[in-house]
Amino acid sequence: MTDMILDRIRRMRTLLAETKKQEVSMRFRLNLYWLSMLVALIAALLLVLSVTGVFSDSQRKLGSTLDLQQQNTADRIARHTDTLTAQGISLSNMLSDELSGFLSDGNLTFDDLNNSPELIAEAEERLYYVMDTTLRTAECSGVYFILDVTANTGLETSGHSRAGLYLRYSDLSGVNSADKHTVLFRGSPQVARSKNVEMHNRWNLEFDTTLIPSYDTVINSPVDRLADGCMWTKRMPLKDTWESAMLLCVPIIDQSGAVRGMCGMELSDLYFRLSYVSSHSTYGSTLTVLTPCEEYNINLGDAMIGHSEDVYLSTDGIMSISHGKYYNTYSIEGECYLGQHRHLAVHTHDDKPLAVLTLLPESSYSRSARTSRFFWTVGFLAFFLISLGTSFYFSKIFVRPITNMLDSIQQDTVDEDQQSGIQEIDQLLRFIRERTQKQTDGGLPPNIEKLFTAFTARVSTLTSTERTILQYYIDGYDINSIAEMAFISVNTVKKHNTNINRKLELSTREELLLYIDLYRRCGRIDEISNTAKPSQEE
Amino acid sequence: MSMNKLRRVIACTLACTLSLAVLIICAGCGRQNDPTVVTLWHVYGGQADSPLNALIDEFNATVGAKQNIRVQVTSVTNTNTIHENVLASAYNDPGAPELPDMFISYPKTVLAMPDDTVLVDYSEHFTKAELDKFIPEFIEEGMVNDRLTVLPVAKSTEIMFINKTDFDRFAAATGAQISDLTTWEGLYGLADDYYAWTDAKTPDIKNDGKTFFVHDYHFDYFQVGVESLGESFFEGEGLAFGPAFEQVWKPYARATLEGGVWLQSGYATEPLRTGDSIVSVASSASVLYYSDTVTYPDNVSEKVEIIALPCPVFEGGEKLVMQRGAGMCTVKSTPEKTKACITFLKWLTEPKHNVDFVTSLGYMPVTTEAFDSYLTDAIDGLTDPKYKSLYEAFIATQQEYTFYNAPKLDSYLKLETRFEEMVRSSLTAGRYAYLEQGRSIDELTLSVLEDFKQSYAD
Repeated sequence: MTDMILDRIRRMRTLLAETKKQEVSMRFRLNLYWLSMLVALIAALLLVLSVTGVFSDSQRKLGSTLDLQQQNTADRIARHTDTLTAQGISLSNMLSDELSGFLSDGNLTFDDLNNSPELIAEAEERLYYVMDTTLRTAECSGVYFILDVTANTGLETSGHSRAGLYLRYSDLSGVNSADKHTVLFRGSPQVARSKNVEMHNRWNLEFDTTLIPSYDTVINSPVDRLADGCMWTKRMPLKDTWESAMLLCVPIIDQSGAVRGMCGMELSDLYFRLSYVSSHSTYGSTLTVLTPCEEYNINLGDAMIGHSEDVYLSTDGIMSISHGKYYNTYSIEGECYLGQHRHLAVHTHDDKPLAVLTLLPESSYSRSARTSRFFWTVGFLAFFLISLGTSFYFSKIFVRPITNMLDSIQQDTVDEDQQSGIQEIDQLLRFIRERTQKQTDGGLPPNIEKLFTAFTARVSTLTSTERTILQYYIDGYDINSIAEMAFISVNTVKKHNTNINRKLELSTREELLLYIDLYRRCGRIDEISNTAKPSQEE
Repeated sequence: MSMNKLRRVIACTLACTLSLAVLIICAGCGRQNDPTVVTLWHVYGGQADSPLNALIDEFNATVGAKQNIRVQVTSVTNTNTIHENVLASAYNDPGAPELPDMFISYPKTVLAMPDDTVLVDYSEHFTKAELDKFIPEFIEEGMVNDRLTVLPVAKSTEIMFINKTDFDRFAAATGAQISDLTTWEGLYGLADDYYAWTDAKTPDIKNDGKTFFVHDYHFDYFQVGVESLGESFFEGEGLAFGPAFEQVWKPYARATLEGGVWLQSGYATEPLRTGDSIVSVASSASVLYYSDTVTYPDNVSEKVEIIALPCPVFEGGEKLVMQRGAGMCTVKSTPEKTKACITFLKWLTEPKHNVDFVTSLGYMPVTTEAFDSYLTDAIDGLTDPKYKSLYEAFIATQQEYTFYNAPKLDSYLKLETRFEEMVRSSLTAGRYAYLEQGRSIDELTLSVLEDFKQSYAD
């Protein structure tokens, strides 16, 4: 393999060396030089871009982008949950005060509420305004409170049926819209009618505490500080509805410190979806997910997912996490997402940490990378083609005056005043013109002139008889005619020929005739004709 | 020769470079488009578990997946709420939500919009052959200002729902008959008896009897009642308070003043759910919201049997019943979104899907083929006795009654809202006068009417 490569290199070098010896047009050479310069320029640009990191470190860049988005989103959700928790604590305090006031006004104890639907309804009516105000001021989809009493302790279900009030928004088309409709999901119908509030289609009088995972924990865990008793449930379905929600649970404690119930806010999946709309980055739209998160797995059945017009993630299935250097990879059923997550500092009912995830579909990232490559390639290609076109154009303009001039010379149509505009070419042209002029005026090239002079000198060394024979040849007579006219034999003529050839340094008679013709053509026949003086030898 | 070879080498190099560049460009071009996501506000299910949501999931997984469309439900409420939000958005009220791509609406909402050209005209997206498959009256109802902006997807009518368990107790004690409920006169007669019967259960407490009857839309009761007696309910852009109106008013007002008719706002399902009423007239689509359980204030819950019967009529009057059911409006936006919405709506109104959809919600399908070829089988497949009862009442209504379409007046919404509020408040005041001031019921029935007519006209 190495030998083959070396052989090819050797052949290329040989080819290039031979090429140098070949006649190559000026324009082609110029184009080649332009092209080489262009390639060098592009290579240099690529090198600079690579060194400055434009093409490199894409994963690190993605990691930075995700990290920034993740941080912003996690901070926002943390603030949201913190604020709701603070408002939940405030709600608990207000409910506790109002309840206390209600009981003392009626000279009642808390347990007197048991088996007293009318008293419970009155209490709920009294506490309604606190609930309504909280619902309208908190960023949540519902508020509730549950009291550890029931309207009928004689029922089979009384063990897990508890009185309370649950107000929810019936329409969340826009989380920021001013006028949202409240419905009574749990509570006395008397409250709904007196406050002119619609009852939920799946209303029930009391709460089924078996459906609220945190209820027993809250009720049975006395706390010194309300903040210590706050916790969030995971996403749970709202019975007989199409919705699900996370509930903030805050204990309601009376003046003696006993836990009398629990209250809090609802964060429904729809509310979360509308509140946490996807963010757009250079790599595509990212999704926000709030979910209990283990080290390597996420159960999307417990997750709340933000809205995205571009990305769809179902709340179904187990998502596996693969930790990476700059970001993690989250996979579910063949779909991959790149992102990061961090845990929220909130207390959950089952102590499973809640995490905020920022997810970017891998296909979106790949698409973005492809798009980037596409634009870079198009850019370079355009640059290359434009430069190529420019090089062809400029080389043509550069060479044109030269080729025009050469064409004129070849066709012998050069005017005296004609100039190419290129100094060197015009100098060459003047030189050629002068040489041509000298030749036109009768002058021969020096080397040719020298030959003529030497021959003429040799002719002058001929005897008169030899001159006469030469003249006969000049006049065009052949050997036999010369013998008759000179009244000598042919052999004698041949003998003179030999002497003439020797003196003139010729080999054959044909060579002599060639010289005679040359002199005649140059108009210098007189120099060797018999009108020249005979040599002193005779 | 060597020169030619060099030229070939250079030409090959250039060709390779260009080819590589073109390949990269083509690779960059070959990218999958993001799905077209369209949002939807609907009413099918209210706060309950919505069968339409399941159907939408099916669409997203099948046709939607193939054509890269995703329908996303962002609100499931009721027509009143959607109506308010749509108008708030249309008028750019502060804090108004952004309109979704599709929403369920009555024509009255479209009529009340300042500019209904923001809505798609379906006749531009459905061919004539496709529109001819719909029941003509349903299409006609969706025409507003000569544009088909409300596409029928499911139609309903008014049906009487009865808590039969409690009625049977009442009947056993008083001799009341279910057949008494075929006329309004009979129904109001039973209302008086029921109030007295329930009041008598707490002899120490006077006037705490329970209401017998609740109607979702008092305006519809009067409108259909007057028209069934051969008189026009409307006069121009207002109401005509003619003799038929008084005929419709009298038994209704009498029963109400005596405490037998529910006057509070809210849907009819509410008082039936809490045992505060036992007979109601509501949209057939309310079947989803009628619970089989009644929960009393002492938290005792009882399973009850809910049955459905055709709406009562007036003695001597025509068997007339309101045709109801909102349709789907599509908001104009990008061509891709409009196409996605139309694709979904064509799928939803396809006979098989349409029948699956409507029979889970108590509606009628909207195409002739659905009615003729699919509905009967679907009804046979119903297992919930409430639904079976409903569709029996539905079919009886369809066979024996004439459907009445409310006129498309610009003032309809205003007339309706004003009527509902004022009739309830007038009768509530009249009830107070009856209880506290001891005035006679006959005198009050007429004086409240006069007060109402005067207040309404102001």
